[in-house]
Amino acid sequence: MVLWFRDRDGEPIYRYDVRDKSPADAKTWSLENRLFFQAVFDPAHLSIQNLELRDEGVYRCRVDFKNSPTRNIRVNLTIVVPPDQPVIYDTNGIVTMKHVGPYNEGSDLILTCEVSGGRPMPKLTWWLGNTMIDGNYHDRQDGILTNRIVFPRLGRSHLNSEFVCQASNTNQALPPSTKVVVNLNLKPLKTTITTTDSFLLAEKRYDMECITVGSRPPAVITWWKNTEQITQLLTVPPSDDKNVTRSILHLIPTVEDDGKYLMCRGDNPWIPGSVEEDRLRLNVYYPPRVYLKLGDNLVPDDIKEGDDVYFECFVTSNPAHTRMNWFHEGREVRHNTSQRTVTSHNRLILQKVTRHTAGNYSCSATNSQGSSQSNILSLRVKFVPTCKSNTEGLIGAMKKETVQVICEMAADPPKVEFYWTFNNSGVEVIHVMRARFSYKGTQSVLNYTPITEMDYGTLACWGVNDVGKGMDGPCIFQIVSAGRPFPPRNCTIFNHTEDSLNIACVEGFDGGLPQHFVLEVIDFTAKKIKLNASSKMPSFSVEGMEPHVVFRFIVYAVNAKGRSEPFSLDGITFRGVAKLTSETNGDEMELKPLYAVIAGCFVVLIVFLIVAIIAVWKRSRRRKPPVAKAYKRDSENSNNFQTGDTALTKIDQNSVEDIGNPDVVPNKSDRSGGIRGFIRIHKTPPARRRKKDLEVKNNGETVALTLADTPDGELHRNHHNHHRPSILTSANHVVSSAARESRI
Amino acid sequence: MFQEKVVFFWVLLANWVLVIGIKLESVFIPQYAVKDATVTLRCDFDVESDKLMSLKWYKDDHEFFRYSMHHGIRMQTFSVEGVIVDTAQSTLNSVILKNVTLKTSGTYKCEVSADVPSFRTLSKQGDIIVIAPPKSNPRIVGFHSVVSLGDTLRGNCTCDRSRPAASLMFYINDEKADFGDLIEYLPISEQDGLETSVLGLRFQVEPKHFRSGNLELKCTATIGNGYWVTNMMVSQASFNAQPSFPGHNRLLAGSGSGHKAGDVGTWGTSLLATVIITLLGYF
Repeated sequence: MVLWFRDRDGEPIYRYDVRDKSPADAKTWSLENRLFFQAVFDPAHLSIQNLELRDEGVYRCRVDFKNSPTRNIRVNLTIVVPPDQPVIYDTNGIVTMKHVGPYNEGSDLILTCEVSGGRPMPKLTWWLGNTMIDGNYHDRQDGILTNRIVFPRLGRSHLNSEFVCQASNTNQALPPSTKVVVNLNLKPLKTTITTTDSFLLAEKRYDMECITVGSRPPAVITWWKNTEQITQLLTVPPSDDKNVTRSILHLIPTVEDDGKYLMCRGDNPWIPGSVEEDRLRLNVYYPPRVYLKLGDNLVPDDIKEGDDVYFECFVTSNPAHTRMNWFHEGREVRHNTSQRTVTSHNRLILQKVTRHTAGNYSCSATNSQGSSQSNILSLRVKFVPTCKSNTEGLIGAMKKETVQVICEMAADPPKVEFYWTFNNSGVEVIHVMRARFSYKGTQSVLNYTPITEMDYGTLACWGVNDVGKGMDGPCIFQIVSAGRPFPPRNCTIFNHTEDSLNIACVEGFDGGLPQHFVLEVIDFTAKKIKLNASSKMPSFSVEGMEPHVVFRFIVYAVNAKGRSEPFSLDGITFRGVAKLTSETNGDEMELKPLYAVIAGCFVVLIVFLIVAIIAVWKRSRRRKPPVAKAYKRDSENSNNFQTGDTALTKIDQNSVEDIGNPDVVPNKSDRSGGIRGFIRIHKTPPARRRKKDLEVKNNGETVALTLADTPDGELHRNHHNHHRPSILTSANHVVSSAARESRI
Repeated sequence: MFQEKVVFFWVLLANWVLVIGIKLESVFIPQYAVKDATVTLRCDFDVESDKLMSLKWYKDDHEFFRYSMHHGIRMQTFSVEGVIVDTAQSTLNSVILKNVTLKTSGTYKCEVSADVPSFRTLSKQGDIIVIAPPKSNPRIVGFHSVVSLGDTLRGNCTCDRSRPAASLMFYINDEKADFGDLIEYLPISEQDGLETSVLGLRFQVEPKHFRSGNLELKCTATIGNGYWVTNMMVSQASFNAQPSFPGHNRLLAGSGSGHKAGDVGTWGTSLLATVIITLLGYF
């Protein structure tokens, strides 16, 4: 017999009676119909259906045997009621979604879990993964248990971690639990500018890349140049890796960027102060920038000859410049102490400057990126007025002829005050009255009229400007008694070939001034000057003349006062045509009919032959003139030489001697070394001048020379010598109005 | 409030229902039993309207005695260690256990069950502790019999071989010794399950301890509600030596006359009788 008791004695809740019966006939009785005893099972057991709380208790099974001791077995039945599903709250209230957040990295996670129901009272615990992180819960006394966790400093590793709240009151079944997945905003870990060129070239485009790792959501990347944000030329390429944010800056570095810091900042805007940055010092290569400056203590417009001057060349360049050059008027200036030019560091030092030092200066600097030229500085060197060398000269004037003497000074500043002096003895110096001359700028004009023999002498023109008085550089003018030259004489033609000839004359008196000679070949028919040549000596060589044209050859002398009467040779033709050597002295010859010409030609030919024989005979009696044909242009001796096709000027240096003019003593040293370009000038007696010239010149203004220094205002005149003391002057640079006119 | 009243009503109703069925009147289970003695267990019940199915005695949940009424009255005993039922003496209401041993100690339960239809079952239980008394009074050892003022008296009291271990206590001139002067030791377990108790005493002799030159030390051993005593006299050294009474024993619970420690065999029976009387009186 089996009796089941619950908790206490009294009536059994179930009985199973097989006394005197087979198990199949067992008598059973139960307190409730939820109870079933399964006696055939091993072990036999009591089933309770639809368990209720009141079913809990100690169950005793008493088995009575007929002959064996009774057995009592006790079983404690505990009824477990599972708790309800836990509910999670975060700081924003109840969490209904699987995900919570996003929370900022480093912040504290505060979660509260609540659960109701459950028997026995459940344990309400928090789990992070497999680890219990909080087992402290408390009974709110209203049937609800709560467990609040403050999880400090959420870290990167907690992204997507699961926080599970579990309400457990039995190990018989899985406890109800609720989980949340944490979403986080993560700070950037590191920002890197990946472009690592050691230098950048100015004005070239570079794609600078910057990456920020670890930000969630993706970082906002900003670029900065020093403290200035760059907002243009940015590209944000897509990134495969959500962890990485990229930004590309299309940088065109400028020279000014050199040395600046390029900064890339990755920022998670959701997390204040989460900036991670990287910076790169920009090393921008560029050609030098050069700036030339006059020395600090120098006043640009107050530099005089003799001063020391220096320039400073300021170079900014990257890489540093390896070379610096200096230029004056485009030509390089080098260190040269003998020329008092010193280059030191970034300076060009010019010691004791002269007017030739003036001009445009510049410097240049060179580095690997190229060479650059500086600004151009104009160096002005002030200097006292000095005579421009080409204004010195010999001026011929007849008595009572007024000549304009022009004195041209070089001076800086060019505002020059002039005064003139006169000296005819070498002893006395007379100042010319201010009223006699005028001046403007660097030029002064004196109208001078020699009245007596005493008025011939040396005029000196002096200049004074702000810098001072040009004591070393007056302009000297020799006023000599002079007129137009005499015409050349005895011009003869020789070596007359089919298309060439030579012509030589004897030079006449030079009029007191240096003279030269001009040959003009005139096409008699066309009345056109075919050829024009000039020479120091009255001998010419003509070649390449066209045939069958009748030419007139005229030769005349020219000096500063004008030209002489011409010596003419008419009717000259080439190729088989008879030559005329008649002296016509300027009269024009009428062309006759052809027959007359032919007849004339015979006559002329005969005459010519006779004359030629005589001339040859005469010449051979004298010293035979060596004729040097110059088949190239002689720039030294025939500056004004003009040709048609191939005109040649024959220079016969010795013809002066041949002619044997007693008034002219040629200066041998002129051409044979010594002071080149200077000849000795001898005064020619005025009596030998032709009266016609004198009359013409006398029509000019009369100039009275006044001695400013003497009280009576009279000029002292020297009557002793017709021949003046020889004065060295430049024969090549005679400038006077008359001379100029003669050349036009 | 209403619900409480309803519950109370049902409790009353249940009691009334019980009253009409089998009822356990009283169950007697002695708390102490002296080793080798005989123990009588009583179970009185009233079947009332029920029909008795069985009466069972359990020791520690093991059935050792059954009186079943199915198919006639039938008494059965079952073998349980430490339990020897005197079947000749035992009846429906009383079970006699003879020659109790230390293993007889345990929880005894009487369970009565009615037969069809209620099968109502009731039980009551109680614990029996079997006592093995010491064969002698406690021994006082180690104390000097003559001391001077200021001396330290020290010694032990030992109660040999009892079950359970005796509780010992020192008295000085009939006053309990200060707790701080006592030295406690764990009981010494013997091989046959008996235990020996030892208690130490150590104190400085002061004038207040002496009455006309003598100091009385007393050690008591207590097991359950029986106890055993031994006295000892200690003399003050400055007094003329007086004859002491070494080994003077006295059983306070007994006749009051002292006995020599060695006379266990002589006094064993009377001691046992005294203890049993005392134990019975307790219940």
